[in-house]
Amino acid sequence: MLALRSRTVMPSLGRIFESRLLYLTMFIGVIITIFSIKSPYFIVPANFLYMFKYTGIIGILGLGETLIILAGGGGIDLSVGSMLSLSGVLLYFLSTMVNVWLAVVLTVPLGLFLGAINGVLCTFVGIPPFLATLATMFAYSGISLGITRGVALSGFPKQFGVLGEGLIFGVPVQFLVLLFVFIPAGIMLRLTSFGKHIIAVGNSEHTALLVGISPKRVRFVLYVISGGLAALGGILMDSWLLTARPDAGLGYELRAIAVAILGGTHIHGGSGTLTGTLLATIAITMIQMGLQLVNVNAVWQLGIIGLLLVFVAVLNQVIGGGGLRKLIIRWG
Amino acid sequence: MKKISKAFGGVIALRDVDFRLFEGEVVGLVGDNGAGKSTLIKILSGVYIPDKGDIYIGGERVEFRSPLDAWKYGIATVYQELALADKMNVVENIFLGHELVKNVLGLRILDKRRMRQRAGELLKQLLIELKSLDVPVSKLSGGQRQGIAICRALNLEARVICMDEPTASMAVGESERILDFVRRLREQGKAVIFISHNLEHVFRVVDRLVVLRHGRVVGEGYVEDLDKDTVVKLITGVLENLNLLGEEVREGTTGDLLDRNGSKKVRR
Repeated sequence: MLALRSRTVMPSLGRIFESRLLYLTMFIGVIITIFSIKSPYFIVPANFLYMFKYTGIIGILGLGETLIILAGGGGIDLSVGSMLSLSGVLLYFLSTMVNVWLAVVLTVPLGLFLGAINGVLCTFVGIPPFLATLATMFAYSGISLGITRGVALSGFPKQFGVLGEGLIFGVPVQFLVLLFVFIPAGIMLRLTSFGKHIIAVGNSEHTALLVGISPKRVRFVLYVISGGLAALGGILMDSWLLTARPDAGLGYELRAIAVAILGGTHIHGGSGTLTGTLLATIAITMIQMGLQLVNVNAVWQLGIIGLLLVFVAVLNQVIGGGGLRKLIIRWG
Repeated sequence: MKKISKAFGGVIALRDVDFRLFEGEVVGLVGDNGAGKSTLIKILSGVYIPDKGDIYIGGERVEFRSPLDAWKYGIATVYQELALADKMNVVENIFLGHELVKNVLGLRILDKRRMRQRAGELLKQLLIELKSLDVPVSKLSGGQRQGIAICRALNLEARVICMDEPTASMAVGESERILDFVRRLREQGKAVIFISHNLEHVFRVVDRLVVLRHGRVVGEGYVEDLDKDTVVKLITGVLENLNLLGEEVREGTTGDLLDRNGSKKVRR
């Protein structure tokens, strides 16, 4: 790690990206090896597919989070978990009035609207995103608890479960939905002007303004997208459990941020890849599954993911901040 | 630009500044720090909106609300701070905000091949040699970064190019190249505004000089009629006011930018 970053050989950013993806792939390999030794069940195909099902919701939320963090300016969306819960609950109420599939279609714009509220607060009103989305995190979660009186609502028709539980050629539908949003998002980020503008805004707001890009407009759009993705997460969650739980998204905001950062998105924006986020989602899901299989208590599972994040944060300082030497100087 | 004024809070940056520019002319804008040079340029390029005053181009009154508006009228600016996105590569920076796109199945997809090709041409024009177009611009030298910023302005096929301290962060060889380049722009009939603290550079490249002090134009004249001492005196305020342009010129132009006949009228 450090050898790569000796002062004479400055790796280009492209190489940092590539190396980040390489490390993640190696990391996933290590996880598979360790857990395969520990548990004979880890590597069996059934378990593997089961695991990919778990990547769906985290990955979808992580995608929105990645885009928001990429655009810089302290951008972060703490409300994705709450938006997921609220969308899920609203989907339930809609499904009691209209056909469940129509309800699904109607839930997405509701999510976009929730995201748009975040967007307005963070960009046009100018509240720091951390504060604004913390507020809406409580607000959205409060509303979903309020309108359900805190009770989980079940009674979705059985065929609705296909999104959360279904398999197509052995591949979980959840994972296919994940790819269904990642691929267009990847094309958007790499191959369109808007994608370049996201990165530019994350690099320097001032530069963006001078070349005629509106940072507010770009960021607003990303909060809206994040809301839509959270709604999609809520739909998957309802379908999976066939129940709308008012606290279904609890803790998902942290996982979404974790996969974005672990995947190599710079916390101040301006650099990062969606492939990184996707690989990080797979890695985190594998760790959770593996720890489950070797009977590590759920509380410890979260703790271990937390430790991993600390490690990655330090690593990011080392990679992005010019080596360990600088890190020590900064702290010393 | 006629009677331009701009204040930031209580600080008056520009007071009733008249400024004109003709095709195929290089105008030097000099003055001490805080004299209002960069502010004037940012008004001309649509970054700031003036409190008072009007901008005319070829007789038409125009209003710039954003840098995009200025671009549409062919005004491109190389800012002192260069306005580069450090973590993005050379091609991405040159085309930032003006990406070339192609139509693929109804989607507007970036035309990376064309952008690369065009970037290569632009860099070649400037005689800038880079090992790779894929490096992030933070890894380039001051002169190379300046070159990228100029390429961006060139790419816009601008009629007016404003350069704010283009030679400030450059090695000797690099700044020579920039000066050559400014001369070539003039030959192509473009108008250039050249801001610099380096009077040596200014005198070598400009046709006409405008001196700003405390937000006012305190001196104006053709390079042949001026010497460095006089300009320094104007900049520092030892000499209070000097106008070496003939009266008929002052009366004859109405603060127009890019008056085609103007340039012939003024040049003797």
